[in-house]
This record gives sequence, structure tokens and C-alpha cells, in this order.
Amino acid sequence: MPATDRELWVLNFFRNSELHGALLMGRLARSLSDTALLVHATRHCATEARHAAMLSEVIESMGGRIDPKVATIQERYSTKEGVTTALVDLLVLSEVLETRVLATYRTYLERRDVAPAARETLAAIVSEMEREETGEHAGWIDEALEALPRDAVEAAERRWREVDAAVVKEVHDMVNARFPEPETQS
Amino acid sequence: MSRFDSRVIAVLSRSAMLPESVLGPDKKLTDLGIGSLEQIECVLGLEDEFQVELPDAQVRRLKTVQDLIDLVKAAVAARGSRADP
Repeated sequence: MPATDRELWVLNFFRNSELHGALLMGRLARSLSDTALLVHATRHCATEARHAAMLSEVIESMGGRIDPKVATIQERYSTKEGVTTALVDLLVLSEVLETRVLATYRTYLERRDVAPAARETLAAIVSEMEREETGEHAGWIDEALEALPRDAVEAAERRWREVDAAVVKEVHDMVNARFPEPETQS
Repeated sequence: MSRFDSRVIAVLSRSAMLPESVLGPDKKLTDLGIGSLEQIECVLGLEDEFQVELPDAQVRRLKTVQDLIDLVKAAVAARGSRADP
């Protein structure tokens, strides 16, 4: 099954967003001072960088072109809400994003037309993310947020969840308009 | 351009990996292709460079290079006034 333009765009979107997440977490891992937090942030950075590498390799293996210009989900969040450097926002954003990414990959894997190589890669990433959810690094963002003022955390959660919902709808509509599904697609 | 402005531009240049010559004060950050990641890198770099905290609410409203210079100037001035007895 040859790779479709739609699938290659989606894989580039996933790849660029994973890389963006890694770079952001890496920047955080250069700014924080708490050692335990630095361990978690560095590991988080490495995990997302590895996912970006896996997605890069699968795009190449499918004969596709890696397009670094495909806007990431984080860029779309910032377009709606502005750029933030506040720790509470960066941590909440990371948490909202983790949930979104896992749900998006799972939904994508439910499609029948996913190329085998892409399916294998995404399934491996999902498995790793599920293991992380229960592993020794699970909950590190929640723990970090507990040390911050509760009202600020709750306000950030409300704000970024609203932004997330709007961005997801926007991306969904954009992909469907740009790459219409064949009528035979169920 | 003042030495202060040049220091801000130098940090922006490093963060966005763009030559200083293209970072005119009136240029919009988005027109220069400076995305959120580069803006975050720049803001944190400026906080280190000038030993100030740039208020998040104002960071979110940044549009141009001049906005960035003005924001850092205001933060440095506020730090100076706080340091006064």
C-alpha cells in the first residue's frame, strides 16, 4: 500500500510535535534547579526525541519527505493562547499534551488504512507511553504541580484544556479539508 | 541602536538562529519565522542575560522585535527601582 499524502502529512505532524516537545522539555531541563525534577525532565526530553527519531525513520522508509515546516500542535496552541514561559503553564501543557498525543495515536491506529510500517511504529510508541504511565517516572508532572499554588494550576488546566479542544478540532477540520477521505473509506 | 538594544538582539539572534542584520525593531516575530519554541528560548535567555523575570502576561502579547526590547527595558527598570532603598 503506497503512502498517501494524508498519511505522510499526519506522520510529519506527529514527528514535528514530538520533536517540539523534546526541545521544550530540554529547555526546561536547562532551567530548573530541583535535581529530581531535572532527572524527570531530561528523561521526558529523551523519550520524545526518540519518538521523533522513530517517526522520522518511518517516514523515510515509506519513501516520504520529512517536512520540518509542518506546524506542530504546540505552535497551534501558542497561536491561540500566546507563548508562555511560566513553569505552571509549561508543566500543565506537557500533561495536557501527553493525554492528547496518546488519545490521537490510539484513534489513528483504529483506522484500517494505516500503512503497516506506520502502524508498527505508532503501536511501539503507544506501548512505550502506556508503560511510562505506570513506570517509575509516572506522575512526575503531577508531583511538580502539587508544589505550585493550587489556583494557578487549576486556572492553567482550564485554559490549556480549552485551547487543546479548539486546536484539535481545527487540525481535524484542516486535515479533512486538505486531504478529503475517499468515499469508499469507512 | 543602543548597546542595550544590541544585547537583546544578540540573544534573539542566537535563540532564533537568525542573523542580527534581519532583526529590525519593527519586524514582526512571526514574519521572521520565529515560532513559540524560539520565543521561549529567547525569553529564558534574556532572563538569564539581564537577571530579570519577564512577566508571562506580557510575553504572550509580544509581536515585534521592539516589543521585546521594550519588555526587557521595563523589567530592568523595575528591578532597578525595586533595588532602590
